[in-house]
Amino acid sequence: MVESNPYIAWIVGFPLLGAILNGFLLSWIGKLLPRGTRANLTARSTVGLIAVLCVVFPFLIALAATIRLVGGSPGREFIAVLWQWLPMADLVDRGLYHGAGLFPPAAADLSVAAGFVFDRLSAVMTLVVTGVGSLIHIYSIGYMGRDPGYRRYFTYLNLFVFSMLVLVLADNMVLMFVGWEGVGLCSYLLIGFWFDKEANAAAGKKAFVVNRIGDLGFILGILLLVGWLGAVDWNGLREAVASADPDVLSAGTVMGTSVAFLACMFLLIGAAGKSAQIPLFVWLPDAMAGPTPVSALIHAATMVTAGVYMIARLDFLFLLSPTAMAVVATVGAATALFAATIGFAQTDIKRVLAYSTISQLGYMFLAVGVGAFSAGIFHLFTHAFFKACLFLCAGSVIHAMADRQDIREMGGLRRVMPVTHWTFLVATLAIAGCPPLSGFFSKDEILWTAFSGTAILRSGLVPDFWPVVLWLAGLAAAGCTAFYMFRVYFLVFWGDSRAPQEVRSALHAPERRSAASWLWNEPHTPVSMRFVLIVLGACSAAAGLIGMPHVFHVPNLFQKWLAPSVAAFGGGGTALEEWFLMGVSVLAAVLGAWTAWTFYREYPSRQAQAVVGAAPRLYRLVLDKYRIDEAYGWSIVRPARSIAFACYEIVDRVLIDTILVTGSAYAASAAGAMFRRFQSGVIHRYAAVMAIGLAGAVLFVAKPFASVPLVERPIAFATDGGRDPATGEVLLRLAMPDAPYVYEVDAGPDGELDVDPEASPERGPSGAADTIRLCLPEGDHVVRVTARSRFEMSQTIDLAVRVEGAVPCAAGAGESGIGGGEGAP
Amino acid sequence: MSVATRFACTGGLFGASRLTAPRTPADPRGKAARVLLLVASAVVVLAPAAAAQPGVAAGSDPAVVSAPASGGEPAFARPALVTRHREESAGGRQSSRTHAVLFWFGFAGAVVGAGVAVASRTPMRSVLGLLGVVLSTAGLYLLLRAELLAAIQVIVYAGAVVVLFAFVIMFLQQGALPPPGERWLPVRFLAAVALAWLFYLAAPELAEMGRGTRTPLPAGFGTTAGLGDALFTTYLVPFEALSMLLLAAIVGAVAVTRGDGAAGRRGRRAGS
Amino acid sequence: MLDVGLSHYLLLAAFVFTTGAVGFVWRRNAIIALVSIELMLNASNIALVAFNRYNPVDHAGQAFALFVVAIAAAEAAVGLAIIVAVYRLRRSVRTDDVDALKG
Repeated sequence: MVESNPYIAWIVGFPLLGAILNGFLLSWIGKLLPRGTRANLTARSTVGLIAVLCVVFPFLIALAATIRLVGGSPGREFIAVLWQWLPMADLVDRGLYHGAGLFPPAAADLSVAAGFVFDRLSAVMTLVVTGVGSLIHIYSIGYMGRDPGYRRYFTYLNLFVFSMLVLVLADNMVLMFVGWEGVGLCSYLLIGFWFDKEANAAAGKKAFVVNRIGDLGFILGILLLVGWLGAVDWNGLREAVASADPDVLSAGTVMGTSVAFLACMFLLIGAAGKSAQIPLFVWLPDAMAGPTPVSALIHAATMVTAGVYMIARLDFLFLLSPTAMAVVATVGAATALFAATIGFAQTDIKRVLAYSTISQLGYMFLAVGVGAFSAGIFHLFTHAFFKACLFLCAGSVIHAMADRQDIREMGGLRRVMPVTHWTFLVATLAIAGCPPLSGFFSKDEILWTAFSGTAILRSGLVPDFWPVVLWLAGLAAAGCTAFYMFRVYFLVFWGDSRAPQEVRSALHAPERRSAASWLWNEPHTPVSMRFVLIVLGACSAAAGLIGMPHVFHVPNLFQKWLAPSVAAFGGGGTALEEWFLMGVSVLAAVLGAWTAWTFYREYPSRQAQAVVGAAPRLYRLVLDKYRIDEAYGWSIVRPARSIAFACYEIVDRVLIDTILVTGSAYAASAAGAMFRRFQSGVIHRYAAVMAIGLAGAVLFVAKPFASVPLVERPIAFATDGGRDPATGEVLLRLAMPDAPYVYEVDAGPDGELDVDPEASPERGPSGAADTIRLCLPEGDHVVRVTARSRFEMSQTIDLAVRVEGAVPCAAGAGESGIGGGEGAP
Repeated sequence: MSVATRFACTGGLFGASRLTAPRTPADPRGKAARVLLLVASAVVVLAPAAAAQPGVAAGSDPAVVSAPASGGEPAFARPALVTRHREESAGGRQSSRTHAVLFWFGFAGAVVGAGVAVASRTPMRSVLGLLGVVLSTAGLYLLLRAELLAAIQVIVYAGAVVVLFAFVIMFLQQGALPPPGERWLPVRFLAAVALAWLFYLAAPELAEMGRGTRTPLPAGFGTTAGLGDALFTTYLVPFEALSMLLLAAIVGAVAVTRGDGAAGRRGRRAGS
Repeated sequence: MLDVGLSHYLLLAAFVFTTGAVGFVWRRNAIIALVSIELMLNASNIALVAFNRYNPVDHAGQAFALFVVAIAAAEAAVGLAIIVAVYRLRRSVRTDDVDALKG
């Protein structure tokens, strides 16, 4: 049930408004105002208030809309179509559509609207984006409070929220792509926010370039869908898939590959780029160069989940190709495990969290890959809370440590920052999968669906044991997650402080007046930050309760909520199996946490050093992130740079700079040097050149005309064209009926013209006269035909004409001069 | 043109070349240039004359019947100027033989004079060549029934312009003129060849034009009365404009010579 | 040979004109260049008068020939004045030596 609701557009509109206001409008207006009021419009408090409100309002609208969705029927959704954006029918009308041979006829009626849809899936995403976004905006007020780029920061952040909401609420792939690019842009801007450090700028560039690779896949996917299904909007695609014959759909091939598989692979490349999956994950760890709230919002909670959201949005499409699903799941599982192991050895707190994000995104891919779209989105939902909480705690720690991020220099912060400590602990437990917390439910659901899912088994290429492999990878990743997260936790908050003296002396524990103050006071963290940490910590703890597994015999509210929007999970197993798997995963988490406790209770730790000593080369490999960046550098970046350098040297330096630029300048000066000699100032030399020019002009212009009467072989411009059978008239056929000549015909000794040059002969097929009719009496005649041009140039030929037999026309009225003249006695 | 004409032309040119031959052993390049000029002139005169011979101009396809070559009125009307007939006036026609002889004299004088004027080494001789051309032209004007014009030609051209040239040359030769050595420049040679080629191109057309036409003349044609009548009725405005032009030329000539001289005197005074 | 007509006069005019033109581009003596110009003007006069003779409708050709004579006289006067002025300045009548038009 689709309802039009213009308020949906305001969800998108407010952040854009905020970005415009903070970005330039207020400063423009401020310049128009009298001097006294100018400062108020771009003051930090104003900027922060506008920015926060422009995210809070959409959150409230989304909340209201969600409540209305709760009340409505399951299929209810709100749409707001702003305008028809790319109407192909218009192009067809204007003759600008040239896709007739490339695209199916359906593509000709394609109309891409700038429209937004608020259904249950986008409701979840919108609430996450605006909710977590609001909190992070509030947090940023404190975190960025002393940054000189405050206004720029909030402009970018609002712009990001706008783009993300476009992405989430778009009702078609093209508009989604707009948001997709928008968040990429904002990500780039915010990673390089402190662009005065070259490393930050380079990180932004890296993120941008790697994302472009993914975007290319996304574009190809969109085009393939347009060509294949003739639609880009969700409902149109869904209907196209639903109404088409499944056999026909799966039979479509491009170069021997199923179109569905190909489209899913292209889209997967796009999703992998945005969601930092293998092989395009390399940009995300570097993206931590941005401000920490940005890392929390963009590079953990929202933007990087866009790929998961896109796959969930196109669930019906991915279900067409089980092989593609298997690829998605495998990529997800591999990424989850791979990134988790890198997390073992990292020492930068934000980098650990970045790899943890990649790992968790891998879980989400695993879930959507095995067909558990609901589970994937659920993990996205919970992950947004605990990962944002973790990042913001890290930001708080970094703040307290005077911008130090190395966990080896931390330690003992438990007493100094109790709020941060507790919220971090809650979030760590959540991400590790500790039973009552949110991460436990979502991760456990993913592991269970990976184990029990049957969607990928429909592909003939996937072996039967593959779900178990996926589950084992996920399980291992869960243990690893628990280990590295608790490693960070213990290194940061336990043990003795290893910070440099000047940092340590600045740290001081809060006064403990009461229990409330114990929970609230924290001298190193502004109020706005503490508030957000506590809210997010609470959400991390409790968010999982809406998606409890069926074996608990409570309704899985989340799954029920998403049921109308995404495909149901196919597969299942016994409750016993589920209990068993749950126990195993909890065990893995406990094992990981316990190992971390034994290793990192104190630092430097004997056990860790022993492990490192046992396999130093492996340790170096993990520490160097498996040297993926270096491998890419060698295999892709260096060749590309070489090609670019060659292009620069050949095309730019040689072709453009030397030949075109210097060369043209040289040619001009050389021509000048040559022509300069002509301006000798000597009159008779000018006269000489003039004479040569005159001769040349005559040679090329006048002589061809002047020599017309002298040509040795005249043009046979008129020939004997036979006799008219009816009238016996002589027909003279003209070779060049279109030429601008006037023809005179003289056929006798009397010297009179026999055919008036002005008389219009018969019209030929080309529209010009091609035949001259002439009535002659019986006998031999010499007919002299003269062609005169407008320039009084003439040419004459004589034609011998023999007329035999009766000539009806000559006996007639004698309208032709010769016929009448000679026929008369 | 007949063979005799060509001989006459060649003889004239040869005479011109003798006249202009250097008295002192000049630089060979200058001599070569003059010889080349004379040879080129000879070729230029003779070749189109040969080309204009009836029958030689042919190579014509039998299918093409151009204006019949052999005498008489062209059967096919040329769009022309020259075939328009007028009533024969009472004025007597001069004998065609006398006319031809006189014409060839004038022709020879003009050609030889032109050759001398152009090829002569000394300016004075060149001016004398010009005088020959002017007088020959005056004679031809008489043949062409332009009596007043012939008189004016003699009075103005021969009497005034040529004398002015001679004065200037004599005036300038007060100082030592540097020997006017001719340099052989490709552009000049090319230009001369181009002009000769143009003549070569035009000559057959000209030779074809109005050959053997006899045109009767109206009474009073070319006489002082006739031309004067035309000048003071039809061409009154250009005639008066011409007087303004001559006035401007007089003032200009005086200004150019005097102004420059005055400046020179001032300059010399300032310098000394 | 004895049948002298328009074409003979025109050929003569063309020849004299060509001679004058060649002389103008060939000779470097400014006076001879002026003489060459006079030759060309004379040639055009011959043509004008000859055309008038064979199309004696009015006196157009002769009248224009008269104008040409006057213009030639004016041109000779001014040209010779210029030559004299240049000679005073440069001590030379060679056209190569006068390149003030170069600017």
